[in-house]
Amino acid sequence: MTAPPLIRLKGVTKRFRDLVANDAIDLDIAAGEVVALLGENGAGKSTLMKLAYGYLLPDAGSIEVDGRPQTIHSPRDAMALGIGMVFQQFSLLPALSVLENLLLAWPRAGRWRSGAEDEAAMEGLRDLAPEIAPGTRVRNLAVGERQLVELAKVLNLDARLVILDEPTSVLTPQEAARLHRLVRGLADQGRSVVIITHKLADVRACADRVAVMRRGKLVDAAAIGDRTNDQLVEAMVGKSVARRGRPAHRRLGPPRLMLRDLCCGGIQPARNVDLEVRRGEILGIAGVAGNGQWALAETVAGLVPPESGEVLLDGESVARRSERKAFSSPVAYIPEEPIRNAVVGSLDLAGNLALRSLATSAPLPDPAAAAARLEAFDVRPPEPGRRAATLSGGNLQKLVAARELGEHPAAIVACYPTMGLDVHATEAILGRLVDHASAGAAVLWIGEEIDDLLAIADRIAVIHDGRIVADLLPGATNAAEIGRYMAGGQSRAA
Amino acid sequence: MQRLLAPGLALLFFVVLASGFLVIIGQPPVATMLDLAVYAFGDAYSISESLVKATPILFCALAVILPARLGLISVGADGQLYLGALVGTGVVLAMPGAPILVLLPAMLVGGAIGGAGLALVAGGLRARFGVNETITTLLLNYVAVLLVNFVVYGPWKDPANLGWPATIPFPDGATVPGLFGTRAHAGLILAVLIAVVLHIVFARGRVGLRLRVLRDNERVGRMAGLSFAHMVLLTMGIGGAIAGIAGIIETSAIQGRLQPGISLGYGLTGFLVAWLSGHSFLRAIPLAILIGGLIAAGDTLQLFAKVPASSVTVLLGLLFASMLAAAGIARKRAGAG
Repeated sequence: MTAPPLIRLKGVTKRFRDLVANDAIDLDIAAGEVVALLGENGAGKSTLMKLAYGYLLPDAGSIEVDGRPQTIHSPRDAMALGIGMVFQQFSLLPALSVLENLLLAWPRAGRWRSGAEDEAAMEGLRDLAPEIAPGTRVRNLAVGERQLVELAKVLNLDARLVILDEPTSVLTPQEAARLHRLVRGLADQGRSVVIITHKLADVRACADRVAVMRRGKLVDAAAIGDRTNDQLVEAMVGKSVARRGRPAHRRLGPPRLMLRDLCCGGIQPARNVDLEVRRGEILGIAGVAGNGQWALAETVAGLVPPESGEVLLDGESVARRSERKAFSSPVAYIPEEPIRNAVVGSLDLAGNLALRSLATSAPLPDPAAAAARLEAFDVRPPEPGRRAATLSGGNLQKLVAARELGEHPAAIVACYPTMGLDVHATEAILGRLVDHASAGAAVLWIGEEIDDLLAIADRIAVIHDGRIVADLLPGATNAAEIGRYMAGGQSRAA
Repeated sequence: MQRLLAPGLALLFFVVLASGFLVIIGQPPVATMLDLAVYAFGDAYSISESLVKATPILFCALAVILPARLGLISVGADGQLYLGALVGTGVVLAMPGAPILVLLPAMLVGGAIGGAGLALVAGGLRARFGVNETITTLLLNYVAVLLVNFVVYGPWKDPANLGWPATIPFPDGATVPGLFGTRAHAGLILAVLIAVVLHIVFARGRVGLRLRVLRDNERVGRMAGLSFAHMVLLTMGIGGAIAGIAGIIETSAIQGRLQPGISLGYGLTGFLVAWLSGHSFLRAIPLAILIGGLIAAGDTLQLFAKVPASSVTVLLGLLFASMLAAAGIARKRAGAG
């Protein structure tokens, strides 16, 4: 007789009004096994795991742990059964320090703080990311760093099953590789891991088994060796997606967006950045998260004033001059995490589209025009009166694109614009950037996927520790070389 | 039905709690509450007294709602009211003989400047240094009250008062006209007018949307070319001006001279009205009149029923608690349904 699986989902179903998010899913996860739960955004992966974690309750079906039926009413129940989950966001308290966040979830917490306990709580994180200081407030961490803190928090719980929700979407290749090694290490200790992902690289790097979901159904489950990448992609998207090839060579014009000896302050500053983006050019910036990209993007987009240096668009300064005075930059800006950085969740879609004209006396677009714009950018549902907070991340990002790219901007800053988006949404956003470059815009694209940068950018600059350390042509470089620069292996001067 | 749930529950809670309280202090609950209603709105005199009390409450509520639309919590309406009274009185003392068409507007502008000035101290600290406006407005209340005490006990004291701390009586040119020969005065009309104008500006204009964007996501507001600091100064300044007008009107129409104790906690009562109205300029109008009525009725009740003065404050507290609890329950039910 074989041992029962650590957790067995039987016929698990979850509906949100008319939408069947999980349709009678059967899935076993054995002890010591790494399962990749693969699927596009909205396929129901996160929902399924939230059911296992007690964050949501199933409408039908049952869950067995160690062969015994269990009703998991809450994350507390799940943790008692040894199930832990790392969310993409929301579960850290930004105002508290890293150490305080870890202590909040520290299972063996005594009544009083002790130095030994602080040390023990930090130990897991030290293995993951020794560079994160315990006293740093979480709100000052980059997104990638927050995720590592989240992971350390769950590992501190000694969970037998660790669920990771899109863990590598904010990590660099090196960080992702570290995570993959860590996941294998957990499996070697006899723990089970579920990685929710839409990236084949994650599946190949560390999974024993892959389960593919599409539109709420489990469409495939197999040992990793039994499936090719093509088979997995087909299972995931249902039809073959032609990866956008390198676009036809664009004619590059004179320099349009110029950064002159730009220094940007902040927690992770950028120093002495000199870059030119020509008319029609897409300049990709590769770098490990937290190396000054954010400060650079916010400064070029006119959200924060530079410490020194200049941002020029067609020869005219477009840098913010004052921290407090009102200023609206003509540079279009598509940041990561739209709900935090680019939209007002409580406002309707029409209001969010009109944000840029809010400070002026320009007429606001009428609902029909707003609806047409939403259709054009494939925002679903294209209802101008709907509250923005009810949209999914991918659709919010399309909403931001509809606002920022609707008026033919001369320059575009995109900072991790495809973070967490599925294949279709990613292609749509990147396609827009290419179209605007072709129409003469200067595009500064701070990217996360080296493969995407190599495939689409005309030039790739690498940022490390706030400085541009390399300026490369995609045809004359490769991922390995970029990765070395990203890690600070050698500088241009050396 | 849903719309009636909150007011219905509030009434129920209040009747139960107030009855309990009245029984404890040895008063017949039903009769006393009926008396309260009659003393508040039973005849022309009661109504005019209720409107007298409602006027400064409404002004103060508007002074709280405006910054609240940006997410600021100002508890400084009382202090702004006092400083408005102070500066407005200064204008009157500077030119007591001026004709009413000059003096009355100048006095109101003085009141507005005084209130706005005090509010802008807190607003400026918030805008420039990020200092919490709730704390600063709270503390500045004491500054304003003590400044008024200083001038009426000191330089502005009328020698004819034989030591009574007050300025000279306001001349006719500085007296806000009364309504229908009662103590109710034109200040009420001004307050309602300001509430309606603010409502229209916020409903039709862009400023409401701008404040909402900045309140909900300041980063995005920055991107849109809005300045949080600027809006802090704007909302605090105008709010302070409104509270300042309340102060000088109360001084002119009711007291007739500047003296200590202009406000019977109108600032705090206005704050609660603002909160109960859900920060709606229009809903603040009936709420202010209701609360004003209860306060006025309390004065009368004290006179005839020999109920101690503080018991009305207790009843007021029970009313606020009932309304807030009912609103919370209604919201929760609406969320669940």
